[in-house]
Amino acid sequence: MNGVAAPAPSPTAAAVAVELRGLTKRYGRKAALDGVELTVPAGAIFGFLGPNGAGKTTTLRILAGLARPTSGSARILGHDVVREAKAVHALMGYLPDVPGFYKWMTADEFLDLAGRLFGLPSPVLHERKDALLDLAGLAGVTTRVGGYSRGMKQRLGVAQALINAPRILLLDEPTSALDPIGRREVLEMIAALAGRTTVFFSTHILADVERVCDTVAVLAKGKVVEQAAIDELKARHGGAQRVVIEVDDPARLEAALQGAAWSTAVTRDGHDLVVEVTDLNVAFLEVPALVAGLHLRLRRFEAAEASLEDAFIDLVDGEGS
Amino acid sequence: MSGFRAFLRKELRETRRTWRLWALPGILVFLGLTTPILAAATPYLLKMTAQRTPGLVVTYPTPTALDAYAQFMGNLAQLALLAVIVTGAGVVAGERRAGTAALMLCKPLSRAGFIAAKAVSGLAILLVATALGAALCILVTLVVFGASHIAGFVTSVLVWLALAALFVTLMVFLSAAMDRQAPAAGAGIAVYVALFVLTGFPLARDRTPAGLMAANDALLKGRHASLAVPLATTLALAVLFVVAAVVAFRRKEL
Repeated sequence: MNGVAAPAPSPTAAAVAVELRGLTKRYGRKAALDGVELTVPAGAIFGFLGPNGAGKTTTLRILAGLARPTSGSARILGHDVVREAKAVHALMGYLPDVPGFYKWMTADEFLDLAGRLFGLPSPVLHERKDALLDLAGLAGVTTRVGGYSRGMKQRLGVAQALINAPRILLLDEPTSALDPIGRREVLEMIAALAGRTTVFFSTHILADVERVCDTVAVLAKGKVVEQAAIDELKARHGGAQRVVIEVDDPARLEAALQGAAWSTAVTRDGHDLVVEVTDLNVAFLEVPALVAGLHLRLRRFEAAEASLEDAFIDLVDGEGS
Repeated sequence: MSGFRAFLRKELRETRRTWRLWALPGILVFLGLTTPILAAATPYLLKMTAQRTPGLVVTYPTPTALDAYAQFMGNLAQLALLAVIVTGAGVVAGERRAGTAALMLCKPLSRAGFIAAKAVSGLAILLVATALGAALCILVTLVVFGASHIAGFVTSVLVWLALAALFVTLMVFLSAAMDRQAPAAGAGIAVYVALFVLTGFPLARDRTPAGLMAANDALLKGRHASLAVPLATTLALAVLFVVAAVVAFRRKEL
């Protein structure tokens, strides 16, 4: 797709896509955002995680220029979103959580309107429309948007957000309404933008984040409680180190594990034993010896990987308590 | 006002493609076609009613072109103005509630451009619909009654157009300032009633848009009416409403 002429970024803008400093948003006495600090590097596929009501949508609406911060600042590619809204809008694409379309339009007409608002010349607009309709699986669909399924609307939403070949794409829960195939298509589309466009997307579907994001931030009660690369986050907050063991007589092994100094907790998960350990290396030495000593057959023995879910719950619960 | 042209184009296209076409334009075309015929048929309708009631005698003067035009203007002053108010109540509030405004305004479309496109398209639709309705009224009246009072009628229509334009801009403002369509419509109707009441007070009538409301009869009969001040205040208020709409809309979060 052809590029769109956009304001030249400053050196800072080239390195930082989103910068939030002390961002606060109050609705009466309630603080939806409470001094949010966040830096998103340019080119990142950035997951913005948080439970419902954490302030994800409010943050995105402020970045998109649809809501104003009570205090603090928000910058996109070096431009202040309040004072330089025009420059920001030229550089970004935005998909709200529930995109509102003109029901009487077709997908082609909506993309045409979106492209004309960006002032795209007709040849570029036609080329982009064709490519994006194809990408969204809406090529040749002449039905009006009012007759679309939620998934079709979501795909059109992603397409319209890409019409200006944005340098940053803001997506609010882009996959929440999609079926597994639609989800995969959108995630593949997002992953394909890596390195070319910064993608900042909010979601509570952790599997999506693990699949495409390189860095995440977790928002809870209006504050960013952690920002890190996914592996780093899991290592820091993924909970205790665990091993999963499957033997022919788990009851005997469970009793033996209760007395081991390196084992802090043992739980049954069907035929498996899930053992929280103080040191994985020690566990890998001791478990086979223990199993052999009990004359049990070892069917499976592996380290349980810390999950993003564990890290997420740890962070959000920690903030809540 | 970035994005104004593209958004105005969408507005005009929306009028052609949705129920909007059947609202104000539909009403004015319907009135233009039927009012002269109804005016001509009124004595016969009354006569038929009287025949069913023994002892009732109805005398009705022979209808003229002036009656047809007066009825058309009466319908404009009430039915058409209410249509302007009701259809205008959702122009901005409806887009906010549907989420379409958010999807438009995160692109290079300024809030001033959004409001200006709403006002210009509303005025353009009003102009075309009024011209069409009035032309049809003249045409049917010519066929039914012959040519007379056309100049007075055209002047009357132009004066009504100024008043209706004021209500278009008023509704853009109310719709931008209020979160919902119904309160905006209610406020518009309140302004309409207030103006109607002001027509009974010469001091206010001669200085406000109420003067335009009260001028129909004189204009139709070709009599002079001093409308310079009411027209000037109407124009000033219309501009003020558009500016106020932009200010109010800029304060709204989407």
